[in-house]
Amino acid sequence: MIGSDARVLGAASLPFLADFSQDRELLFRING
Amino acid sequence: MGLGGEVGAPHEVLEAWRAYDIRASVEKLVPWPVHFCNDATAAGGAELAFGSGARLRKFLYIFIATLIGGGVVLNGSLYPGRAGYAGAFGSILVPNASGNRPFQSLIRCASLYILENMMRSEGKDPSVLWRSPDDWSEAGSTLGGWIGQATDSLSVAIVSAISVIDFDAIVIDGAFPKSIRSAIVEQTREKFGRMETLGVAPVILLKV
Repeated sequence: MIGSDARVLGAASLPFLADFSQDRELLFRING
Repeated sequence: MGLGGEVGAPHEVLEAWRAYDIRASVEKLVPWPVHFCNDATAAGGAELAFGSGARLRKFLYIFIATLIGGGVVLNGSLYPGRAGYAGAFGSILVPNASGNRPFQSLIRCASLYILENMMRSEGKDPSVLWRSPDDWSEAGSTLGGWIGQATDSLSVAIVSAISVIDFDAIVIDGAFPKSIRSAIVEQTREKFGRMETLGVAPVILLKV
C-alpha cells in the first residue's frame, strides 16, 4: 500500500493509467 | 450529500463545484491532454499501477482521507464507471446507533473530518492530522475512539460491497501514518470476521 501520497501519485499517473482503465462499453465488449 | 456544514464549506459552493467542468476549463488553458478523475479513484489507480495491482486482478480500494472514498479495479483495469463514481464507497449506508435516522452514509462515520471534529470537541488541536504524516500521538485517546467507530461501520460496508462484486481483496489505505493504517486494517478484519456473510465469496482484507 502506498499511503498518503497515493492520490498525488495516481493523479500524476493519469495519462499512463488511461491505458489501464476500462469504460463501460469496453468492459462489456470484453466480457460479453 | 449535504456535507457542507461538516467540512466547513457552504452547501451552495459544493453544489457549484459538482456541476463545474474542471476538465473542460483546464483544457482551454493548456495545450496538453487533460485527464480527470476523483481523488480516491486516482489513488486506486496508483495502487493498481504501483502497489497491489501486480498481484490482484479484482479489488476494491478504500482510501480514508477528509472524506472516505474508493476505487474499483476489475480484470486488472481501473473502472471509474459511467460517470466517474464507481467505488464511491463512502455512500454505502451503515447503521446509525446514535442519530435519529436508522442508517447513515459511511462517509459520516469513517472520514477523517469526523476525527477532526471529535478532537476539536475534546479541546485538542486537530491540525496534527494535516501537518504530521507519521505521528498522530497528539490525538491521544480520541484516535482510538474514532478507529473503533470507523471500523465498526467499515466492516458492515465491506459486506455490502462484496455482495455486489466478488472482489479478490479489499485494500484499505489512507492519508494517515502506517501505524493507524495497521490498526484500521486489523480491527476491520476482526470485525468483518464476525459479520454474517451469507452467500458471498471469501475475500481477503490485505495485511499491511
